[in-house]
Amino acid sequence: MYSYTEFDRDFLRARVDEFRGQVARRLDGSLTEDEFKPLRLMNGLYLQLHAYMLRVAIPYGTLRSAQMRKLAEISERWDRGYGHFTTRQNIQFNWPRLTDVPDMLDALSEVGMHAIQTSGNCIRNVTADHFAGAAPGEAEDPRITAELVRQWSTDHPEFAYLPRKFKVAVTALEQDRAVIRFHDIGLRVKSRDGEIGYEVVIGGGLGRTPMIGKVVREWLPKRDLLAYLEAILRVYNLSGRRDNKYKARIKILVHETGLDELRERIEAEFATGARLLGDVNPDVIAQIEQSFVDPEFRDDPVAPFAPSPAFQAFLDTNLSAHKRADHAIVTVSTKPIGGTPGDVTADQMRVLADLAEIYGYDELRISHEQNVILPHVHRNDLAKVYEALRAAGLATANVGLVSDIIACPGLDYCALATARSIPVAQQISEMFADIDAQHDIGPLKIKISGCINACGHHHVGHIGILGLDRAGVENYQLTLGGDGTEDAAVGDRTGPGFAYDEVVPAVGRLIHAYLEAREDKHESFLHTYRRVSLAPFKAALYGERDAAAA
Amino acid sequence: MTQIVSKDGFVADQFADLERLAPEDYRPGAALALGPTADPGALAEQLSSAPLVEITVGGFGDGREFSIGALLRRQGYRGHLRACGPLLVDQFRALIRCGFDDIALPDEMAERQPEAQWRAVPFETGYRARLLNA
Ligand code: SF4
Repeated sequence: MYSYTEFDRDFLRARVDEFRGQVARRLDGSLTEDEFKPLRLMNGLYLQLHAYMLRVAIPYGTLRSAQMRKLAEISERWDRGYGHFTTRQNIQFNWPRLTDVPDMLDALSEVGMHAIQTSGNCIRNVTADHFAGAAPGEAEDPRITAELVRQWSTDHPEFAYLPRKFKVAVTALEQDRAVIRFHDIGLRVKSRDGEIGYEVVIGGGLGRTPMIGKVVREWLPKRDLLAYLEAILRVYNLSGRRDNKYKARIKILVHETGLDELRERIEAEFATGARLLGDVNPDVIAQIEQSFVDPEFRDDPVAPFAPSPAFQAFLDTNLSAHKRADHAIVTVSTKPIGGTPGDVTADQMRVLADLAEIYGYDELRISHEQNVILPHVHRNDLAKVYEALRAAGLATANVGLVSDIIACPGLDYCALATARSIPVAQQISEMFADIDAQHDIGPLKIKISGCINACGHHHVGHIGILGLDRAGVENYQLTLGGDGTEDAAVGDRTGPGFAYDEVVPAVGRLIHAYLEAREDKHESFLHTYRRVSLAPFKAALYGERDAAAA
Repeated sequence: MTQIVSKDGFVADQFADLERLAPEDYRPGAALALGPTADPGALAEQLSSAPLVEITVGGFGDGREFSIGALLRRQGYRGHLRACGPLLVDQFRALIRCGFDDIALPDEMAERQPEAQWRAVPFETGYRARLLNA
């Protein structure tokens, strides 16, 4: 894992001091609220419905146990004893006081953490495949690239006041768990004749106008990465729209300019920029590469074991293949039946930290699906890990299933929300409280957003739910067939929306229709939808409603 | 009126007497006045004889001047580079790093951001400079 150098530590201390000064200047009137806003946003501080919210960066979702323990401590000392993991691999604290925030940032900096660039119109915290370094088949650990991008984009002098926020995601596999086709820039690490480089995707995004990213470069050698990113960002900073915040993302620039012309501009800028830009400092590169070598994996022979049915169910859903046969990747669901997706208590954080320390080579990951991952667990330790998770209420065997729902904070917290999303997730999960029934339904991604901004990624949910406001009443639009992976697709609208008390039964009918339509248990919801398309689902949704109304 | 702020703090405008001219009206020896939509690539002639380039920012939070300044420097402009408009002391470090020499700040904002705040800005090496030896 990347360990902070003296340089990183000095930088953080300077930024915490700077923010302390900014808060003081806001309080003494040197700064107006309008002027303070971009500064606090660039330090991860939002003003929400009921209070401030502090969003802490977890670069590419990777954490050490000491960092997880510090998050637990912060949540108890300055918040309400829990934190909320987000769809961008960050953690949010929902109840800090403005005057406490500099102290929280101080505490974070003790373990090399911060809230810088988790908000605002700048290059945001970079995300990566949450199985990076553990999954089989990677050309290289994508976090090497992600860390390089983190350093380059942190406090970049030119790109702190972009037309709009800017998000970069990295994966190193064909199989895309990092949703790179829905980011402003998506990078896929690949190798060609033994050389490492990238496929570069630009202009993807969700929100009001969902767009699938387009390949701007099939092959970019690794040494050109930063020069190429600078070229993209410079063209965007100068040409991106600033007249309408809903048209300011790079996806709109790509759409309105056309990929070919934009590519020409980027390449022209790159040709000059790359020539004049120095090579990336080899000492820094070496230090980054050093940080992502494998831990010393234990190689005890794997002993056979006979799991209980509940443990077996957990193994079936929460385990993924590791690049070593004697290890496994364990995904810990933050979505117990009826719980708030992504919420983890301080005590649970400590249990996860302990497990990482004892069984997991001191590593944890946060996924964009809001779950926590132990990326390296020896198979002989799985039973002990499961028992400890169970005792902490963290062993829900639902990863990838109908109750593993992504939900944004919605009206319960978010100032922009037009509808509730957490209670909808909770009710769907309760409708399928029986884990066996969930296993029978199989892989199904439900994603819920509480407004058009789409933080809950509803466009790429197999079932997407978007909560809107129709003349003061919550109304939920459903989409089907969205997919955030390498087969990227934006979900299709089913038709008119549903009221708050209708939407959960409507989802129930969709799932029932799927069970009727599937060829057999092995045909997933998404595959069935692709085969039969909208008609049977529409009938299930609206046939019944119209009948009831008649 | 405006206050000129450089790394030395609040200073007098050494170019106060220069005429400011837009690119289309430009005459050698005058200061070149640019706006946020300027295209640095189209200004080679004016830049070769302008002792001062002033870029007026597009408004608070509009960050185009950072790229325009960086591009002017990359094209080899060696004269004086100034950003004019509603800027915060918190943006000073980045402006200097992008190649600006000073800024012209509206008096109202200079009053709320006294000289001591500007002089306290640290100019330590940033991530980008460390990575790219730039
Ligand atoms: S989707 Fe809307 S309601 Fe949900 S978190 Fe984002 S802005 Fe808030």
